[in-house]
Amino acid sequence: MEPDAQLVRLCVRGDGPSWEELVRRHTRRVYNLCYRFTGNAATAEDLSQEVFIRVYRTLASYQSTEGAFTTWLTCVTRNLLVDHYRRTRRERLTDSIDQMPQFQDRPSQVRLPDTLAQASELSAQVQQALGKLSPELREAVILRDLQGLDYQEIQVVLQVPEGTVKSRINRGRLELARILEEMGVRPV
Amino acid sequence: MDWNCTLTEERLSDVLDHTLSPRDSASFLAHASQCKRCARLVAQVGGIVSELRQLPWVEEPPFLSSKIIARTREIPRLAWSPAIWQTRFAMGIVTVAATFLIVFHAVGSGTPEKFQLSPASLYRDANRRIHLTYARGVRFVNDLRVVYEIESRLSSQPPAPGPRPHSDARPKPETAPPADRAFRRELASLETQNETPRSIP
Ligand SMILES: [Zn+2]
Repeated sequence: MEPDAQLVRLCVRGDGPSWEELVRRHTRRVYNLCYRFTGNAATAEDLSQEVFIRVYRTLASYQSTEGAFTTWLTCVTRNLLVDHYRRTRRERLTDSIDQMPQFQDRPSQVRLPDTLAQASELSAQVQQALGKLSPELREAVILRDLQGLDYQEIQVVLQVPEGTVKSRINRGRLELARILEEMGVRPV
Repeated sequence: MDWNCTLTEERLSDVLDHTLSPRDSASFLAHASQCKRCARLVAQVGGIVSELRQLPWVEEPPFLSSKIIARTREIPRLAWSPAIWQTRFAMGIVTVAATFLIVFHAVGSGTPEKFQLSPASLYRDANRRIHLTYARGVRFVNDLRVVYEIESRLSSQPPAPGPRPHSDARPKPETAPPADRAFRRELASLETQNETPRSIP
């Protein structure tokens, strides 16, 4: 498998198949970040498309010497999520609590085996709890515990000092645990 | 170090990520073995974090990648034009190309005759050609400078009034105003300067 940086180099030289490979390789990561942050499948789909269009336009500006492609991609995604959050803030404020968007996982038509069903249920509960966190804490927890970025990468993505990153992750985890406990969710 | 419940909350991520120093770690363990509240908190949050990390990724809608690829296909490839074509690099490229052009022109492409094959005569010949080409280049640049000078002076003059609606307007006399005369003198001096033959070594 070609490393990302090599694919990017080929893309910039105009190689279409390399671009397709890059998109297929990272769609799920981008979609998950958008979905976990917005809690809405349709919005996450639209945002994922916007992310890749922005990536396509700015691909030549990516420098492999400055970090991994996934970190750069996460930066682009996060910036777009922030833009989206600001854009939709007014709409959210006018929504009543009853009309709050439901944080739903993709409904499944088939009956899932028990472990998968449990994972799916937990996934939905986590999504609901994430939606109750402030955006700052939410993105920190998503990047660290769902996307698996390390502290240094998160620092690059969020453009805040290391101490702030640590503090946000810490508060985010505590808050999330408290919300899940209120929802009656306990870790196995 | 005396550990307390507040510290457990503040440094919970260090506890869970095992990034406490050995000394702090010992203090924490000593406190947690006595404090049920802290032990419970660490177990609860640690359990949640471990669940989060094991959660499978949500599957994206079908054909999302294909949709993205189709959408980006509509964007012209120009988006990927590398930095080399930016203005600051373009000037450098033009300069390098001009230098090569001068050198190739100076060296010439014809086969040298037998008596010219000695290193001294080859050097003399190349040297002469380079100076000749350089002199021509300088002359060309000077010509450009004159043209540019004329253009910029003309553009700095106040704009001429638009055509009058009546056709009885008389043509203006040929005599130029004093400022214009001074400009012409300067122009003539520039041109004669440009005409002076250059000594070619
Ligand atoms: Zn305690």
